[in-house]
Amino acid sequence: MSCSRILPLILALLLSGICSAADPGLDKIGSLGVQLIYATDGDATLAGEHTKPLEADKISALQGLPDLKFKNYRFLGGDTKPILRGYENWATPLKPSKEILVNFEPRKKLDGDRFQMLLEYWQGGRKILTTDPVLTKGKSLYLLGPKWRKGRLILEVKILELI
Amino acid sequence: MTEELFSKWIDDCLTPDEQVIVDAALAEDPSLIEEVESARGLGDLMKSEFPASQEPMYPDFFNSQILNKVAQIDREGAAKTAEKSSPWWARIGFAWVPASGLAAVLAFFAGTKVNPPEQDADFAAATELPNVYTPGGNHKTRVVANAQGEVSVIVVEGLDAIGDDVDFATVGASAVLPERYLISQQRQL
Repeated sequence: MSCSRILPLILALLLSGICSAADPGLDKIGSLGVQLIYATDGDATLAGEHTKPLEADKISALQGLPDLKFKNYRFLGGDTKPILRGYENWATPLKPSKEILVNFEPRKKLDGDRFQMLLEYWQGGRKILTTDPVLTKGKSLYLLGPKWRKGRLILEVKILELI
Repeated sequence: MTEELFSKWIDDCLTPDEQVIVDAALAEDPSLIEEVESARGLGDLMKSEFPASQEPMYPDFFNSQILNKVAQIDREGAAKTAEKSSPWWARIGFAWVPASGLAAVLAFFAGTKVNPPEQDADFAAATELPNVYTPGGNHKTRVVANAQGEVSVIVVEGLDAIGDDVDFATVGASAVLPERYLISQQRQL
């Protein structure tokens, strides 16, 4: 066998060795969904024509929470990112805008589908809030955020999947 | 020779009296010096590999959690002290007055009709509320939990409003991105 055929084989073997020794901290242990919602008691079209209507079940969930009860809602954007075993990760719900970022990192696996996470809410390149809630898979945590266009921004964070 | 004495010997912290004991032990068993040298070598290796002190990952949040814990311990301590310092009849005080009034009201309503709890009643105090820390200082936060004690809403008041001219659909990347964001993106590439 010529050198030109052996070399790629050796490289492939070496690469497979490197891949198998990859950082276990980067293992995906679940996924986190982050959505941004515009809520207002006034005219929802102020959010802009690129926004989408919010699903009916989400509207009823939000209206069931006194602090999040508004007349109108619009869906601004969302992002789903893997939860890494040993590192933080970032969600950008308003892609391509990075005006709002959500940083998250797992802290502790609890019983059942519950996970304690460390969450950070960033706005305009500044960290606004850090919290360490216990999240249950499939259950939403809402953050009533800043004012915008005569309404408020609501951030929804939810564990979508646990591996 | 005790373990404590051995540790002090490794760290060169022996008192003159202790040094006499160590010298006697060394005369009896010269191999002890090798053990000490080996332990000192290991200590030096660790010092060279690990920093003497290290900032925690989230120092501001870490500090706020410690302060919260201290405040909680203070509150618990104060409550226990107050409990011990007064007899039970003094602790009740005049609590029987509103309690008896409440009992009368409850008896009245129980005799007429029983309503389902209102929506607000579902959001009772949580048993497992998260710590919330706002580095800006001017923000007020409130955590609302559902009936199961799971956190449902974090309300943040006092945030800077986002300019009405900002259109998220068209605006590009923010001018300043956190360094940690960039590191995280590079790590995952």
